[in-house]
Amino acid sequence: MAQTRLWYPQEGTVTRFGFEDHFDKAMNDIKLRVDRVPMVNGQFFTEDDEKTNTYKMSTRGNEMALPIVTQDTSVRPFDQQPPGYSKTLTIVPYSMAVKITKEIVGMDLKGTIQHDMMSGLPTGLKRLLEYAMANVINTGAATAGADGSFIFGNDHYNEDASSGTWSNLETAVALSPSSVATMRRNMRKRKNARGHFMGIKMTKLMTGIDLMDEAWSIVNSKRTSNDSLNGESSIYKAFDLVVNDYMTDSNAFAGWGDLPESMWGFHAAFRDRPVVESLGYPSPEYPRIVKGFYSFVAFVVGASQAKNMHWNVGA
Amino acid sequence: MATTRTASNPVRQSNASVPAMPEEKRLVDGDATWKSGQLLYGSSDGLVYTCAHSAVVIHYLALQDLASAIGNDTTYKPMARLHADDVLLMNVWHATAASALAPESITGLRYELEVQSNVCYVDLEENTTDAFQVIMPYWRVSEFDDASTDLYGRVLVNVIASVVNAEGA
Repeated sequence: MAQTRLWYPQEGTVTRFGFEDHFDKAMNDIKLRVDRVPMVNGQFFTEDDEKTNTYKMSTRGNEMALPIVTQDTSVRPFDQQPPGYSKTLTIVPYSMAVKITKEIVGMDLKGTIQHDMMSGLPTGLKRLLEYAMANVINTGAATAGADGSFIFGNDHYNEDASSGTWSNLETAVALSPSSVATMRRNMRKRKNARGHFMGIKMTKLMTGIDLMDEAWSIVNSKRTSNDSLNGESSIYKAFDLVVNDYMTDSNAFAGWGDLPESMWGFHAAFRDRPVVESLGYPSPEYPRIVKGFYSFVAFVVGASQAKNMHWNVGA
Repeated sequence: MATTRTASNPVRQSNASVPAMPEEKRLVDGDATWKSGQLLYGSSDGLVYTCAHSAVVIHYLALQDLASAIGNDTTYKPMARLHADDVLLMNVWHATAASALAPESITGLRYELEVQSNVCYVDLEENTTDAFQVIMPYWRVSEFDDASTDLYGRVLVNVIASVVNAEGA
């Protein structure tokens, strides 16, 4: 097949030269290629608004030591909750813009080109946020979190250091019914800052596109492949399946628990929420550049301690 | 993993003083062919030609493809005039693909024009008759689409004022 590569002038303004089909009278319709943005990662991030260019957060807990035997005449035992690790993230502004000439607006068959061009700006913002959030997860096994360990690591110190360490990084094995079940058990075994059970229930299984079929089979199989007895699967329909289009590792998978939002550890902080505004065209000297719009967002995403996600790099 | 970018012709990003690229219709060399966005120059014979490797005169950005030679020197074609303050987004070129990278260290440096198959690049190999000054590698501001490991990576450049304003021979 002879390929055709479209060449068009990219002069920073939507002019007739980039859209010559619009000037073809034989053209019955110009269909819009909609920018479809898979929205996946927002469900893992907590949102905060920030007035300055840094977002600094920490945690505090209410985990007390266990009550001890105390008689009426005993000295009253006291305890204090452990503090948390702090994390500072720097907010970054992002923007993109589009402007369009009156000529192409006038020639437009459907009369929607202004809107169509502008509508790419908010979808671009959505995509930016998705990429940014996915990047935190994709690089989590090699990026330090608030406690100095990698975001997904097996050597996180508990906030009460005497309670040892905790892990949200599974032993690397391929996605299978047993590795998912192991992940669920490991989440359930996780302990709090004082070394006591939290009872984390794994509610979601996340994979990239390459493992989506395998993951679906695992979650929706009534029988287990773990043994030769063809027994009941313990994880049949136990999790919602999240196919993360933005995951870059084709072998990795993750589990998501049921901890409250304040413990998720994935943060999206906005100094300026996403907006699309007019650029104020036409200007006195360029009356025929009729419309211009720009998108803007100032935000940062990052992770402090990913207490609600377990990661397996797979194999 | 290094991604090999598919190069495209210069993309005008912005200009603090000129909101749009002024469009002109100019007589075109009858033997010339070019692709949209390719860099051109006006010669003293009144015709517009494609800029070649190491060009020291760059005036225009082509607004339409010119797929086959016109065959006469009396036809006008549309093109957009470059200004000295125009910021262009371009791919870098190196004859060895693995060296066609855009590291931070090229910021502020000047390079020549390279043209390959009607696509204009910033030529990292040559800096004698410079046409562009690198403002910054694009991966610094486009963190999810670009990477410092991209082969034929993208850079933001200014066309050197003397090149835009030079008289075509």
